[in-house]
Amino acid sequence: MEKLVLLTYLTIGIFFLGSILAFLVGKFTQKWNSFWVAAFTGLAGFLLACFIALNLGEHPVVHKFNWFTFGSFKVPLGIYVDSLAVVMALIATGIGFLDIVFSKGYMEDDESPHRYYFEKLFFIGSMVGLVFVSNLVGLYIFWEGVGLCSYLLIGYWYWKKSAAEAAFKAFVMTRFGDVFMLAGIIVAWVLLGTINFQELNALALAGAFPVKLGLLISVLIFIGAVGKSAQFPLFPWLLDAMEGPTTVSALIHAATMVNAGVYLVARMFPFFDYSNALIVVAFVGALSAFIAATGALAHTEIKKILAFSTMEHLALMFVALGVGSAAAGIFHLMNHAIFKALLFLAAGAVIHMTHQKDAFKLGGLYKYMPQTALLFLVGILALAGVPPFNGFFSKDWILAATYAYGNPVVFGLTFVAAVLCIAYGFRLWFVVFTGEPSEYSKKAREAYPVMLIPMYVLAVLTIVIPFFKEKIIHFLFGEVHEPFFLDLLVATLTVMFILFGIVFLIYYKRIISTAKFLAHPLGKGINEFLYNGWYVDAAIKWICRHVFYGSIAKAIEWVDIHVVDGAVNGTARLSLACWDRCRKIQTGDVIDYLTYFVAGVITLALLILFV
Amino acid sequence: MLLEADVHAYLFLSFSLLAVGVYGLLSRRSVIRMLFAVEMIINAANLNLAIFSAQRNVDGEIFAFFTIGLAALEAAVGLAIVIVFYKRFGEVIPSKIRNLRW
Repeated sequence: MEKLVLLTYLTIGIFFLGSILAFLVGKFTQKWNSFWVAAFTGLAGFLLACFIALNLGEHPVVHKFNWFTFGSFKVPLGIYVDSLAVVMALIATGIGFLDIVFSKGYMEDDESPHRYYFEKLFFIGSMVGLVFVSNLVGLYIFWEGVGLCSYLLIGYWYWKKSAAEAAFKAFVMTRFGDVFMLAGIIVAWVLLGTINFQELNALALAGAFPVKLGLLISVLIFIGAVGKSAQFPLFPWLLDAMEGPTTVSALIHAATMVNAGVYLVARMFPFFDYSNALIVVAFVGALSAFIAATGALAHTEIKKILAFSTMEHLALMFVALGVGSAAAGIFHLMNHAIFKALLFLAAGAVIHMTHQKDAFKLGGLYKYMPQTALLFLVGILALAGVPPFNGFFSKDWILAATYAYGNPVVFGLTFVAAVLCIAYGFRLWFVVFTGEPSEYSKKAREAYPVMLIPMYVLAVLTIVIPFFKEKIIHFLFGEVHEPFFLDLLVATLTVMFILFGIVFLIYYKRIISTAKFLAHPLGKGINEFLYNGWYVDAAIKWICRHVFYGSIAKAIEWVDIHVVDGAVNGTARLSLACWDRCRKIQTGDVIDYLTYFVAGVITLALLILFV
Repeated sequence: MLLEADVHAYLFLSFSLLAVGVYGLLSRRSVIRMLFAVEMIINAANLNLAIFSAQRNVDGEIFAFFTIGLAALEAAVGLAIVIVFYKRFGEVIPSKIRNLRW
């Protein structure tokens, strides 16, 4: 047991050490040497995580220590590794390693790979730490760590104004959620006296605190998760985050970091359950899924369609958690991480070879990049939930769980969002890979082997995972009852088939044209409404400008100018007035000074004599 | 040993000397005369020392000797300042020189 504790710390530590080493090696020797350091670190971390996973017995690995003590105030820290944490760590390190390898091809023209690999390894280390820590304070530290790396990597091409602004936006918007989360942590710590996940869950299971207090804490923490996992209304940053390198989007903004919110809710699942907060989670998830799925249907950039899709699948996970099926949520998290990483890597290959992000300016790429096209297709099939692929099993489970939950609004929104996957997925694939090749497509060639191999690994995983479904679920949650509705399954597949047919006719056969619909003012309006993510971004901007800036900031500014500055300037003015009057006694005449002196002495003498 | 009444008389003399000195210091306009007045104040203090010393032991008288020496030094330095003052401003009336003012 002691050995596993050490290995857990080593798994976290190796990435941070590796990140520094990669930077130094890249800085002082050949720049690309940092790749070998990064790849070795990633592989070592992944093998360590595998080792922990294989040796994890019935009992979780637990270790506690005091981070620091301030008088009687103690800040505990520690690790808690159970099957959930180790699966999250496997996703982070495994996909992280594949992503590092892929980056060798994708970042080939880059000037500073050592900076890139430093930030990447630092991110994976933070992510592994995030899933291994045992309490909210530790989680918050690593939570900010991954947020920082997200910021740095979105703004990796910092000389591009759009990238710098996107990084700034992501930072501010997730931080907005984090403020609430911090408040939740403080409330939990002060009123419940503990921040340890297991202790909080135990308190909830014992019913040791009022439900309303639990609801307050849960909702505050959930707002942090909403910010991190890009749910309504804090999602626009995820779309802008696509300004970063595609490998970054694949690892951070699809497969790992954005899952942190889902992981947090799953980790505190009994707490949320007891506090009646799951209904909030379900509704936010369902609404986000619907917004994202419709947005993906209207957008034209490859990466942003995938970003909308990521948001939708995260929302589906939240719905699964919200309707009480944590197993479905976490299983989908895992499947989504795999197929979305595959999709983003394939998109990265396309963008790298064509230098074009707009799907509608590409076309006919199948002829030039057949392997990438097929891998992309595997990703789309898994994303859409077509039977033999892993996406089908988890998504169907989520739909069944939602159906069993019985809330028509949640089920309706979730169902529409889930079946729309196939529509926007195949729309994207048809537009990019079929039809007439454009000038950008003609320059393309097949991706390098170093890029193809990670994609093949992920593609194989999407097919292999379903075979091990029972084992994985058993490893994660023990015995779980999976609801099954044949009528729902048939309905889902039928609707998906019809949607596929429509998309096939519009974007492959091009029999039906959308031009007429888009030319009509109403159609144009709907399209733009969906394209812009229901104008949530604009609404946030409006609220920031008119509510926060217009009233609150203005009021604070008034207080600052008139009260704070007034006090400072008033002090100065008062002393100036005093000085103006007092200076008259300074005549410069020695005799006068002597007179004051003598008068003072006489006064003192009189005081001593008579008082 | 001095009688109590004599001590009072001497103290009154000393006080008069001080009063005259202070008056002189404040009322004379020339620096030289102010120096005279300072000498008178110092001598008033010396007289006090001598009077009280006569009642107890010689400590006060020894101290008075030191003060006399110090007064001589003070006069020397004071006169030197007066000479510099005169060279600098062409007169010895401090009230006319107001350079110390703000």
